[in-house]
Amino acid sequence: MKIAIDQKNNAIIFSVNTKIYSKDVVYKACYVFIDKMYIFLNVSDKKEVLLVTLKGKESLSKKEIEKLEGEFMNELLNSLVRENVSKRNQKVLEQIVGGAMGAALGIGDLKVGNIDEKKNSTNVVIDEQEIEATIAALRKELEEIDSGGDFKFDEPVYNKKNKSKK
Amino acid sequence: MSKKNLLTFKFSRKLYDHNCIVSAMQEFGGMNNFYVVGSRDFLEISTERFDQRIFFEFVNYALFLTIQAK
Repeated sequence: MKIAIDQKNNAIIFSVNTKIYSKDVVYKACYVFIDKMYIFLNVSDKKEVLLVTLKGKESLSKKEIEKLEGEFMNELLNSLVRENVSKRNQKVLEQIVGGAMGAALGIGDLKVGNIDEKKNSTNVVIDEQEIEATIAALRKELEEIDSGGDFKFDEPVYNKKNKSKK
Repeated sequence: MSKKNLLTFKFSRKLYDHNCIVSAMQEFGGMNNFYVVGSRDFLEISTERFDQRIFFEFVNYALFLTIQAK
C-alpha cells in the first residue's frame, strides 16, 4: 500500500486493493467519513487498485493527517467484516422473516420466493374424505329413488352432515 | 483564462455515477464556474483555484450522491 502525504494541500493519498476491499466496502467507509473530510476516489493504472484521497476540512499537522488515514483504514476493515457477517447470516435472516410473514398470514412456514404459490394452494381447502362421504350418501339417495320406494323430501345430505358435526 | 489557474478533477465513470455528478454540478453551479470535458472513462471537471473549498465540497457531494444511488 503506497502512501503519499501532501501537507501543503492538507491531504493524503493512498491505494486500496479491491481484491481485499471491494468497491462497496470502500463506499461504505467513505460514507462514514464524508462529513469529517473531503474524499476523492480515483482509479489507478494498475488493475484492482483504487486511489483514495483524503483532505482535511481544516489545516492539519502531519500526524493528524496520518491519523485520518489510519481511521479510514480501520473503518474499511470494519465495513468488510460487517459485510461478511451479513452475507453469512443472509439465509438465516430470510428464513426468520419468511417464518414471521407466514405466521402473520396464517400460511405456516414459508420459504422466501414461494409465498404466492403457497397462498394459492391453501386458498381452497379440500377435504377429500368429506367429499367421498357426500358422494356416497347422494348415490344411496338416488338408488332409493330408482327403486321406487316412497320418497320423502328430506333435508339435503350436506345439511345433515353439518348438523351432526355441530 | 490560463490552465494554470484551474483546479481539475478527473472523475472515473467506474467510481462516480454520471447523473450524480451532474446533480452535484447543478447544486454548486450557482457558486462556481465549471469547465467539463467528457471522455469514455472520465469526466474531467475544472474550476478556478480561488473557489477551491467550494469545489471540494462539490467533489464530496458527488461521492455522497453516488453512494446513495447504490
